[in-house]
Order: sequence, then C-alpha cells, then structure tokens
Amino acid sequence: MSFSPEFAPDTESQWQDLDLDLQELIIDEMEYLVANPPGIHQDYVYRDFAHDAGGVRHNVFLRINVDHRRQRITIVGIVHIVRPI
Amino acid sequence: MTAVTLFDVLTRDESVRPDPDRAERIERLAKKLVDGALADWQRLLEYEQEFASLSCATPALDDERNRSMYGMYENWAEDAKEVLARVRSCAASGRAVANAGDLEDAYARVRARLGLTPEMVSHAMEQVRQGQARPLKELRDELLARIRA
Repeated sequence: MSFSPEFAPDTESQWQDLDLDLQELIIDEMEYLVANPPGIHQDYVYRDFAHDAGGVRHNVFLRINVDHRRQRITIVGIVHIVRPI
Repeated sequence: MTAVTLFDVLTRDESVRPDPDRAERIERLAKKLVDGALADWQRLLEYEQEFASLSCATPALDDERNRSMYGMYENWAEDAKEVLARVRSCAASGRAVANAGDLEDAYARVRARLGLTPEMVSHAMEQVRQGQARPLKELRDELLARIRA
C-alpha cells in the first residue's frame, strides 16, 4: 500500500501563490516522497530546494507530515524566499 | 559560540597598525568562523533528522518539540548573520573568505525555514486532524489545466 499525498488547507493557498514552475517542483517533491517514504519512526520531514529563474534564486522550504498509520503524507507548511544570485 | 567580537577587535587593530601577518591571521579567523557556523548548522540538521522527527505521544509534545527545534535554528541564524556581516566586509575589502558562499546558502535555507513558525505548523496540523486536507491529485490536475490553458 502506498502513501496518499495531500495538502493542508493553509498550504494550499501558499502553494497557489507561487509561480507555476515552483508549484510543479513541489508536486515533484511530494511524488518523490510517496515513492521513497520516510522511515517508520519519522513523523515529519523537511525538504528544501533552490530554483534559479528570472535572474533570482528562489529558496523553497517544505514541512511535510508523515502519518504512517493512515498512510498519508501531508504538506503542512510552505515558505518561499527570493534572493539575488 | 562565535568569536565575532574577537574578529572585530583584531580588525580594528589591523586598521590602526597595518601588518600583513596580522591580516593573514584575521583571514584565518574569518574562515574558522565560517567553518564553525557551517558545522553547527550540520549538527542541527543531524539533530532534527535523527532525534526531533521522531513521533511524539501527544500534539502538545509535538508543539513543544517544534518550538525547541525552531529556537535552535533561530539562535543559529542570529550567530550566522553576525559571521556573514564580517565575511561580507572582508570580501568588500578584497579578501574573500573560503566557503562563505556555502554559509550564505545555509543562511538562506534557515531563513526560509524560520518563515514557518511552530504556530503555523500547529494550525495546519489541526486542520489535518479535522480531515480538511486536500488530495494532491486534485491540485496537480488543476495545475495541469492551468498550464495547458
């Protein structure tokens, strides 16, 4: 049985505020986690990545809750900052 | 612990009494400050990975754990900011410090992390407990529709 990925309501609006390419990258991160779920004792993980676009660097930070009992992986926080390259 | 105040004293002294040997020592100290900050950051990541992400028995303990980790990152960011200010001033005077770019990256990552407060996590977790989460598939389908539009 595989994990079902989902978004907490707060993070859905954070996600919607991002550029489309960053939205896609976050979906990719979640799909990677579904394919490579964290260990049984980990109830959350952080993922962050940098993406250069438009002459700036986007740092995106995700907090993802892992519910092993219900087999769900849920994004509970998204933060995006921009800085010069 | 950082030695930024020692760095400041030595830098002021060197500006009053220029000396190549002292300047070289100051550069070595700057590199140690950078390497120390990076090592502290790595340790924080290890603590979180190995100890803090373990399941807690209650939501209240989860919140406490989140606040504890957040506080450690906050303290690290304050120290790293001080180190970066010195390193940037070295670079501005033509003395670039090795690994400074790595520390800039680490600082940016931690700043992003600190943008997500324990209260925000707690609120989102409560939404999840109440069954309000939305399947990723729905959002992915909406995204694809917007891209194709």
